[in-house]
Amino acid sequence: MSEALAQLIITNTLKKKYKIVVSEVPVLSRCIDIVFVNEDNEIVSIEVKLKNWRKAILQAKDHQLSVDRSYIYLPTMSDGVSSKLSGCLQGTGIGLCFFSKDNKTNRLKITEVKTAEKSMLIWENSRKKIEEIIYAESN
Amino acid sequence: MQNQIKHFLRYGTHAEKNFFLGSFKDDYDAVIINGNMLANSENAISAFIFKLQKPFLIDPQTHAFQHNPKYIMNGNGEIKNSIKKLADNFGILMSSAIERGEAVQPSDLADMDDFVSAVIKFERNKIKDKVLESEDNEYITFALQGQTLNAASLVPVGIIAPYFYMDSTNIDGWLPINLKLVDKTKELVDSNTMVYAEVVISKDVLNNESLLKRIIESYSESHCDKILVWVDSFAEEEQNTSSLINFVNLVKGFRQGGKEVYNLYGGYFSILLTSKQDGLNGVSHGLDYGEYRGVIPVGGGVPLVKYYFPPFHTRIRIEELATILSKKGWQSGGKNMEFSSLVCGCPKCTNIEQFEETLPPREVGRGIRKAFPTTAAKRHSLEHYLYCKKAEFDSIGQRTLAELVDDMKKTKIFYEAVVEDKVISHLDNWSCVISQQ
Repeated sequence: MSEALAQLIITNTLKKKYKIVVSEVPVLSRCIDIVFVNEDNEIVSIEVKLKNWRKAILQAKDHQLSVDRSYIYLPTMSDGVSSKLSGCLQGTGIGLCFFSKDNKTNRLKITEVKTAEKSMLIWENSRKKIEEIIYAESN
Repeated sequence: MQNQIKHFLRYGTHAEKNFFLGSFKDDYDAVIINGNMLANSENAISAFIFKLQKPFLIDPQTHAFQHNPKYIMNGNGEIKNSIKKLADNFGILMSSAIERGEAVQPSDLADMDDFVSAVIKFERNKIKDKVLESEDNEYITFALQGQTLNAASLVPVGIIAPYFYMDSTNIDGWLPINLKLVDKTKELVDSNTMVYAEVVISKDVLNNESLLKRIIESYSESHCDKILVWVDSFAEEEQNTSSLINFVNLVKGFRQGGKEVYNLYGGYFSILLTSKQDGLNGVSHGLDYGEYRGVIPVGGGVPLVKYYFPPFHTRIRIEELATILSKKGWQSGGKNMEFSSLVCGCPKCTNIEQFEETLPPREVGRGIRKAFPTTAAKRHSLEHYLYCKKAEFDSIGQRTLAELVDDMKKTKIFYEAVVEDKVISHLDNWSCVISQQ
């Protein structure tokens, strides 16, 4: 499965649960893979990666400037969260979810492994930009 | 004027023309034009230089012909048009190598007279001839005779001798040739013409004591008048103190050998070096980029838009800027008094949002989509950069070196809790080397 396909399936899966889910949101010098508004009205970002979780963490750190909570989504690891991954996530406030195919329901199963902490540092300008984009998209 | 040239700007693309001619025209001393650009756009470049009426140099880019041809090809696998046209201007030696699809070797230059003559003729005459050929020729000649136009503005302030890149594997072949090219150029020009030797070396030559000594001694004994230095991919903020010290020693060696020295692709460290005894005489850079440059590929490259952060004297990612502004409580950028006095008081920074304006995302390959900056964002960033560079050059005359070094040390302390160490560690290296050497 390609990252683009994974991103699409995750987006569609989230759309069944959340009202506002937008993909490819440009902010600062990047595009955030997926942004959605959760039940607490918080703006949440997702960086989807199949392999390069170090890069995902770097990108997710940048996203924290603009959203309330920042996650990375990785394919379910057979050995669980490795100590390296755990070590790199520690202290960042970035959340982690694993995704895999649920053979019983034929749907994507998303498991939250680590909850993202609320971002303490918001760059108001890019936050405003994200809000404009996602709320415009939802209308 | 020639002796006062300290700040060169390198002309990169035609889109930059208005920055050279507009409100920043008095903020630099001279311009350097790449030979392949001139060969490819003779009329446009000549008209630009004529309008500019400022000192200039033509960089003949002769090193382009020594590399594997793949480094001078376009996306279709053909030799770039600009390189082909440059070769045509330089005679059979270069044009036949291009035709054969082969790199030039030192042995090809056993008989170099015609080649050197062609390079001199190209640099000295191309722009003047094009201007005088134009439909305004009659009026231009009249104005030149009546001295209402300056004839000196149509010829370069000196001739850059043909040159080739030297690394530790090829220096034995190319150094003797480079020296002969310099001396032959001096022989063929008139005695009033300044000859510049362009010394292009790899970092492994810079960091090799015996090779560096050889370079210094050879060029000091040559007949060039001035030296232009280009160390391959030498980003000053990424160098350790050892490399920076070697660079300072290279410059010092040339200066003590009686030559003026300019860094062709330099940043703030080089600007500081202009205030040292036996330091640089001047620095060149591109617009918003070009404070370092790789020797290959020749030309091309899409510079990323970043923000030139004046206290760090480097370009930082927009995300890094946003982090600093958020942590310091400077959300409004230049509208905040503290930001304006501690970071940047230029008019561009009062509109901090413009720096991150992007176009809608587009696919760049392999399913990756990127959002590129708008033209307005690029222009905003570039104008801010030019304000910053002028301030840096001005500071050399207005403040002591000790004060400028102290500023860097204080900056490191002020920001160390705000950014990662890798973003500001260069300030320690620069302070240490500039203070000691």
